[in-house]
Amino acid sequence: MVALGNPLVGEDAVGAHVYDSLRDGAEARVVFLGTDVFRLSNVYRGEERLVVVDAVYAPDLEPGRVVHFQGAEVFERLRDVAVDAHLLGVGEGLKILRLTMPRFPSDVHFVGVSVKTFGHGQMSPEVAQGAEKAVALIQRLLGE
Amino acid sequence: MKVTKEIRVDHLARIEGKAGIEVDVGDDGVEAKLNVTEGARFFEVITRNKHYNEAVAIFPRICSFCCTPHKLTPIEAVERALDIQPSEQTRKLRDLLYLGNVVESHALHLYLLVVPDYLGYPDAFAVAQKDGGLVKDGLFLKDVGAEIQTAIGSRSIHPESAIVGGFGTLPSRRTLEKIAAMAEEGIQKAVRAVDFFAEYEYPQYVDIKRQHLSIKPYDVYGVYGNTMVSNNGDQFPVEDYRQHLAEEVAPYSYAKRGLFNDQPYMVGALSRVVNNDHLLTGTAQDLMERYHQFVTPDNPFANNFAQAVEMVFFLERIRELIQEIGEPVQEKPAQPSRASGEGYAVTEAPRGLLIYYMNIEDHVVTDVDVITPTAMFLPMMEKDIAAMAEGLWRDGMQDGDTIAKKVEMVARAYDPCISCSVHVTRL
Repeated sequence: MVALGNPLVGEDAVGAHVYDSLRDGAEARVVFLGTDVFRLSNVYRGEERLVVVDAVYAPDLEPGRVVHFQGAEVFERLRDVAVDAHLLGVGEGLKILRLTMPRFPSDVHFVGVSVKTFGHGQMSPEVAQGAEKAVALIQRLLGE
Repeated sequence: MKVTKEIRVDHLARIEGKAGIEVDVGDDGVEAKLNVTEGARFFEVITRNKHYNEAVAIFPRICSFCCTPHKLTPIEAVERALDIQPSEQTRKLRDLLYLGNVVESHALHLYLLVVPDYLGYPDAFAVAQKDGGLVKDGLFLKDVGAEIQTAIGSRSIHPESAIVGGFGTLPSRRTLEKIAAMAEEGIQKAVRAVDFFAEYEYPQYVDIKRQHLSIKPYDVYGVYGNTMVSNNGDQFPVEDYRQHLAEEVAPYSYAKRGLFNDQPYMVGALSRVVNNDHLLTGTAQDLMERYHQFVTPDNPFANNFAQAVEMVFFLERIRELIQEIGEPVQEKPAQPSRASGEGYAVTEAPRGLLIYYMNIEDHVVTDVDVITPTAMFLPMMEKDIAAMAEGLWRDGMQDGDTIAKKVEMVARAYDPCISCSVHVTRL
């Protein structure tokens, strides 16, 4: 499982929060990549299944809502261009990595938690609850 | 000024952080503004009244990509404040860690953010579809830098092994040898990048005489020094930076804006190469002789070429440093000679000079000043953006979208790092 985000920037901390919850005792390798999806190529060791978790923003999604995409959906649903984002978007990054890495996981999942604020401060209670739901979902995915 | 044409780029794509560009073409000329819309960061305040070790752990959070420079530069400021003398091994490992960051940053900027401009593609994904080899080269070089930061710094983002006085943990010789092999493999890829950027002519609209400021390296071309030099012949120690460098604020931007001798100036790879090219050796020196016409001090697009040359040099330097380090030996961190003092440090972050000032009283940080490279070059970047827009307009280009694309390329050539703080995926 690869977690993305910035623990110091409001609700963008949700990926780091999920990572902290799963780092010990998960039935898989769990890695936090900060804000750089491209570091996946550094940490990838040939696993078949990849679960990426990150904060997501969509105007019509209530905060804390958990979304789960699998396979081709991951590459179709994540917008290519990141807005208010560091570097390139996760969707664009994963597409590039799929084209350029010598091996790429055959079973790709994206778990997103809907967030609303990227300033300073803590996660809202809704997003914190969403993070717990994401942890439960990812535990199921990693255990399958 | 009566405005004839407004050009707006609300979100400047493929840079580090969030900013927009406003260009007004009017009867009196062209005005350009880079709007930095990200909020103030307050790191200089957050770190006050904290033990210096805690402050040094906080500073790297300024930026996930420049975290290594924001770790190693304040460490140096603390060590100067408290007269701490790190070992030769520590200095070499820090150099290695820092160069890993520069190689990673340059690779990311050139291959994923800039190459699409040169090839006329909308983004790096389109480049990967058409020329996967180019993007593979870039990701490999980025990996080299990330591996170095993981091995020496303990992790690729926000490295924690580098501490005041030394290192917490050390890499094994086997790990260093693996990195040396990766660096060796990367050299030819970086040479290909130099060849790639040497195929393109720079837009003449932005040929503007300018000041270049960089460090004067201690010995070999690199990131450490304590004196700054300019292409005008100015030279001053970092302790005197306030006498030469000013920062001003603009009502339309959260970012500070630098002036040197009361004028805009440039920092970064081009400035380093312009001021210190006599220190380049090996393959980088050969490339500079072959392609010397591409190091044009007056054109910001030469910054991309200079970054590619630096990648070659730093990869060779990484190989040398690993040879010099040999088998790392665990050492106790060097200790302070005093509890209070003022420390000044300047290093060369990927985008240019990074200055830290710290006052420490009884091991507690009481005053901090940080000047980042992007703040330094913002006014010069705006000048170049205005020149590009004005040149195109004068030559009859009236399509706002085309002008916007060209001024975005100018901004990207500087490799600005606006804040590197926020990351979110949009659905």
